[in-house]
Amino acid sequence: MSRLVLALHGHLPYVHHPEHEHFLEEDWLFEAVADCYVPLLWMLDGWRRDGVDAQITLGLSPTLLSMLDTPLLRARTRRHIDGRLSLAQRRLQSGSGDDPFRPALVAAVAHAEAVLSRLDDASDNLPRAFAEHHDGGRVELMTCGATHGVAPVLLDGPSIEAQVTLAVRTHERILGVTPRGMWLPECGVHPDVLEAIARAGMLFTFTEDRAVQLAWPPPACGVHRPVWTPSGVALFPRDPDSAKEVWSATDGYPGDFRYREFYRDLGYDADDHHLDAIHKQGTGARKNVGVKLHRITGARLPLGDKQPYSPHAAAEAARGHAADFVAQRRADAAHIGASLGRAPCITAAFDAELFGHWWHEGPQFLDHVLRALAAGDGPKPVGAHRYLAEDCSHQVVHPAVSSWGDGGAFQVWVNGDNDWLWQPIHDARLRLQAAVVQHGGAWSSSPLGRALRQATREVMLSQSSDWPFIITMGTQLGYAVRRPIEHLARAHRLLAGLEHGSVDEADLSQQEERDAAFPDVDPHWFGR
Amino acid sequence: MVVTNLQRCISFGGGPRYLCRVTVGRGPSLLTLLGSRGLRELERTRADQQSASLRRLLELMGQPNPSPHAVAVATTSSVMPLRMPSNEPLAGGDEHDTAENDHRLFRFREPPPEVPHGWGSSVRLVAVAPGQLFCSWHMAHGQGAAGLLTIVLVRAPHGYDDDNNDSPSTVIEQTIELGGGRMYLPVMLGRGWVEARVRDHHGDEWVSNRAWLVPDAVAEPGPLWWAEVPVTVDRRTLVGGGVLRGAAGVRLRHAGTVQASAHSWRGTSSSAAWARAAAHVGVAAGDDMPSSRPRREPT
Repeated sequence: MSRLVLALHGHLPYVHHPEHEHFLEEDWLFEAVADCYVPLLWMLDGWRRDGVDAQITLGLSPTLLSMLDTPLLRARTRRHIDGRLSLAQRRLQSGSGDDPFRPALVAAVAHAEAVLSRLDDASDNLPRAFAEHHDGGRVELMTCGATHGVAPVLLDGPSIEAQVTLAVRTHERILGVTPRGMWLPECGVHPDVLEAIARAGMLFTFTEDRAVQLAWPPPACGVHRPVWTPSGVALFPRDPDSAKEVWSATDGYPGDFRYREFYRDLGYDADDHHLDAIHKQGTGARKNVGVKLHRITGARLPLGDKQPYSPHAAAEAARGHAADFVAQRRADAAHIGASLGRAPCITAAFDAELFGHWWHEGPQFLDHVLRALAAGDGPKPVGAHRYLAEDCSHQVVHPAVSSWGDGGAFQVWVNGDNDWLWQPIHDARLRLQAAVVQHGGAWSSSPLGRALRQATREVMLSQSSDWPFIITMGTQLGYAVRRPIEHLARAHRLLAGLEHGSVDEADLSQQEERDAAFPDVDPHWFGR
Repeated sequence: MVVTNLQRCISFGGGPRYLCRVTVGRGPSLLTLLGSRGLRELERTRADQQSASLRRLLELMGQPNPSPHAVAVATTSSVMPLRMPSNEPLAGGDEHDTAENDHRLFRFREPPPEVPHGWGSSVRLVAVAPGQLFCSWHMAHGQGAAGLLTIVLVRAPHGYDDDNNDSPSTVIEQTIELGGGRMYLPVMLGRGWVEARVRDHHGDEWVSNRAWLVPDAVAEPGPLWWAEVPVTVDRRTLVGGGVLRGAAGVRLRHAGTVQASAHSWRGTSSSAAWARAAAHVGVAAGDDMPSSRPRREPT
């Protein structure tokens, strides 16, 4: 029987700013919780309630998990959603009965109230809520590189090993389960990281299709069966068709004119007297608050020409698109299976935040798709591990070095705009290595030991692929440039102190409070 | 284009409308301003706000507002060596950490970010794209001195199995400044790995990491290995190619050869395209191999 392995990659860079009461980039997390992760929990809750036999594979990156596990950010998440609710309620109360935005406002109020209710149920502990569904077999949770460092760009053994080892430790500490698979940051395939995954005892990962299509020997089943690496890690290559239908802004489902418009937000449209401090940036400037009342309306329309959003019409669109997706996958499975002479495995892999955050109706779409496939003919939705448990006979190949970035390679993270970053990151790693060798025994809670651990955190945080990506995209450029530089600067301050046998404890303490993730970090990883 | 002061060269882009490059002179660096005054109010979804923030930043710097005609659109410098500025911090200087810190809680105040340029000696290689390498290096005490960069490319059509093939296919040599730099290099080698070596005037040598190249075409025909690897087999026992060694718990069979000579790689493939191509993929396999069953033409 054919299978559909649907994988979602949940990740955000570590953004934690206790030094500020309001910090714009922290909104990334709050929006993701409200629009993506809680709606995904609703989907899983519904499967549990209705006995739906479906399963997805969900990656929760260690940085995302760390933020979801942070009390300050949990409290601020609630504050953000409270703000959405209050703004939508004020706008609703100020409108007339025939207000064309009334359906959208009612939906926005209901959405915010339901998110808050789910947070209540989970005692704000979303990782635990996902872990319960993992235990129930509705989702397989996998990990990701600890700070989202791209292995084929980092290309040094200690960093790759540290990214994998810290990921496993963080997953186990926060979720209470050992990960069986890992989403490679940016689907960055390289033999060293595949070996590191095997060394950590994990079984599978997901790749762009070219990692398998261009593998040696050539794949006998194309991208429609996973393959083994020589070290027994299964690679699930993305099916380009499934990806295109969902990803493409022009040909894909999310571009339907009935769906909610992402870029027009009540935070900019509301009357000033409806806005509180929570609805604004720390500077007092307006910002997106996540209450959106317009639909896409048409291609290339100015934001001012957007029409009111109809939740009912959008829900109909999601149902229709889900039916189309299911029909396509059934047809694919039938004719590919006939061609291969063996049941295919269709891998559909996406960024989790596409569903709900960028594409508001995405979770509804997913729910319809997976319920239909679970109940009817066609590929059955299973997680990667369950699939391998059922079918462990696959071709063995050497996968191609690749990524899911533009062109399938690494220009997004190494180009004329951001390549200045990589040598300083490498230099800091070398200096850390020297300090670990010098202070080999100082792992206690002494200031030197704390400084060494914090320097390790800072070096690893600087390795995130998010900052060079954002620099390439040109969005939030100032923040993206600052972040790796600040982490490197903090690491060098600590390492300079270590070289002289003393550290500035006040500086160390503020770093520990600010960059507070990863208590499991071990400088030994960099001493080899 | 050679940029001799790259850390002071930052691109602002919000799509084609705002593509411009701002090169800051000898005054306060842009990075220092970013560090001290902050741009956290940059709004990610509103390009107009980004543009306004850029104008505010340039006003702070005493620079005129950019206009589509006044600011030159950057051209790529991707094939030219880039010199690192000498002994200047990546950011920082004697600027006080001012505006944004005024809003910070006191205990979080910290010095302006400062990153030393170069620590120790190293050379790095990254395979950026098919046919393109990125190389960066820094030699301690090498400022102003010339050295020799040698890049050794080794063809390895069979992937990592050719790891021990140490006969170089191509050697590229270039004189560099040891103090630090980076460059992009075109390479004409389909599959293989590459290593860089930097030799200074004393004859001392530093060797880079080994970077595997990014292929852009389907591979040569090869053996069709088929393996049963139960999920219960501890993957830690398979590290270093345990599947192909037939480690305990693994059932490996060599089932003929597989080739993709008629399966042209086009960057992406669709299911229909695959189904057509699959019919042409030659597989010689054992009787019990799935791929040896009679093929049916796709409908």
